[in-house]
Amino acid sequence: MDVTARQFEDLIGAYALDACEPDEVAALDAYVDEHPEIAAEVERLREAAAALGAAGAVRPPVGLRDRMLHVAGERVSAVSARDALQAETERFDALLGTLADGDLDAATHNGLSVRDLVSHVEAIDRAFVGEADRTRYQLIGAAEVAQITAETLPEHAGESFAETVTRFRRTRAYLVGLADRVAPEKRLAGYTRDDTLVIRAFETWTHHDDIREALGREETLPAPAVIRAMTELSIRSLPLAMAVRGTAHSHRIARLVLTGAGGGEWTFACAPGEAAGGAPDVVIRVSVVDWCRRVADRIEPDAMPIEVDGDAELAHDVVRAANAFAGL
Amino acid sequence: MAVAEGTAWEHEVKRRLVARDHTALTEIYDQFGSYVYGLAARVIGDRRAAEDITQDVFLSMWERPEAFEPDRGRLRTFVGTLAHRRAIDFVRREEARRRRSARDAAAMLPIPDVDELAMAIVTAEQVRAEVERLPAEQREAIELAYFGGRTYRQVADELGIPEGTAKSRMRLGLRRIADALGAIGVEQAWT
Repeated sequence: MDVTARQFEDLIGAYALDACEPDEVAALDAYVDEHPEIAAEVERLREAAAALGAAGAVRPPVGLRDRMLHVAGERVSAVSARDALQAETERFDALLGTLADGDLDAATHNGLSVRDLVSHVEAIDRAFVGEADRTRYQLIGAAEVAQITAETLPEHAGESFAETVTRFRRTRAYLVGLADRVAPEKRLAGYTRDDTLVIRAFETWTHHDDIREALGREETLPAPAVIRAMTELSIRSLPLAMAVRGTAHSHRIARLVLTGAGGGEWTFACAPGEAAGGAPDVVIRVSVVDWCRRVADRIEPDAMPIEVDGDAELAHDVVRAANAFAGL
Repeated sequence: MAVAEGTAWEHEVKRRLVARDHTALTEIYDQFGSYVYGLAARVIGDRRAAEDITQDVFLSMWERPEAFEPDRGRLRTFVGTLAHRRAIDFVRREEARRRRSARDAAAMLPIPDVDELAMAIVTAEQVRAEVERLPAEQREAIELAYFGGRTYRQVADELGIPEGTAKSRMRLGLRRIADALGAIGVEQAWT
């Protein structure tokens, strides 16, 4: 909806009282952003609305303050993309150090052996590192990942696992170092520098978990701050993911509440390029670990315990689209 | 009319939240906790749900302090808007099962927390007095919208008036309250 000055004046009271229809709120928010001269009047009316609420201040229950502070302590601050990748690299490297010869041929989720999975991680790292010197990027999507893997694994078929690990460590160190050598705005294979590093951290966790599961070992998780970085990237990509899947919903808003350490709450538009203002059409509550597994295509929607409040079809399309960019 | 610059305290508390200083979170909770909880409780009419909203509001400040821009508006307004939007989201989701009339809400209004420094009882009375001075039809529209969680279309439907009339009653009434608060000094009205 396009808003005229007259329409905005007509709605300004309802807007300040949060009493507009959901489909109007995004347009009104955008109008305020585009017309700074009206910001003061909007703020003045919001002050008045807020003062209405002040008339009923009530002391919260005694335990609420402590509970809130406890939850805040569990939630995490932002971690840099470099630190996220470094942390997952260290966890992965530590796992590799525990593998016995008998573990190396175990089949993992995507059909590759443990040995080949490590080689696959190195090959994709190398492809991204190779992008650093390009002036025009070449997209590395799911199809390219499969192609690179198919082409490079035979090249290293005869090497020992120790050699594979050494190769992985060398390439990975170079990849982590891109944070210092490459400008943040440079695009690597179609992604910003920091998104690239988080994508690689995410894949490292995913394959860490593949190996862990193939060997029947106990689950371990990334640090909450690292999960948070991955989650934020996945949610930023969701509108595009829904468009790629052909299930974008224009002018529809979803709120994702991801529970557990590293989780949080995000409200987003369900189509690319749209603002995420107003009341959500659906609230989806799911564990942050299940969400990340869904993004990595390691769990089917039907196997995820999800609470949906609102438009169930929209929730279905959000969760279905989450794995749109998953590779091997 | 220019937007007032943020106070030194607002800039400072934001800086500390960005720096992950827990004492800043404690400070804003102590300053605005009763306001947020009271507002959520009144809009929702369910104390347990109001606790969840209160926790969500402060955790949101903790996780995304950059969303607050001190030079675009006051922290109390930002926090109040956040709380109100979440509360009405809740109410609208719950629809008729939880929604009550604004008159019911007023009847259920809990006893104000007179100890909270930011919103002394005198303030509450000043605001209430301004609301009471509004023409009845403006007061009714504003209370249904703000405390009842209705949209202006629902207000129009409930009161049997045209949508344009509902919008103008909200606009005129809210402007009268804003003018009155300006005349007595908004800062005084809150402290």
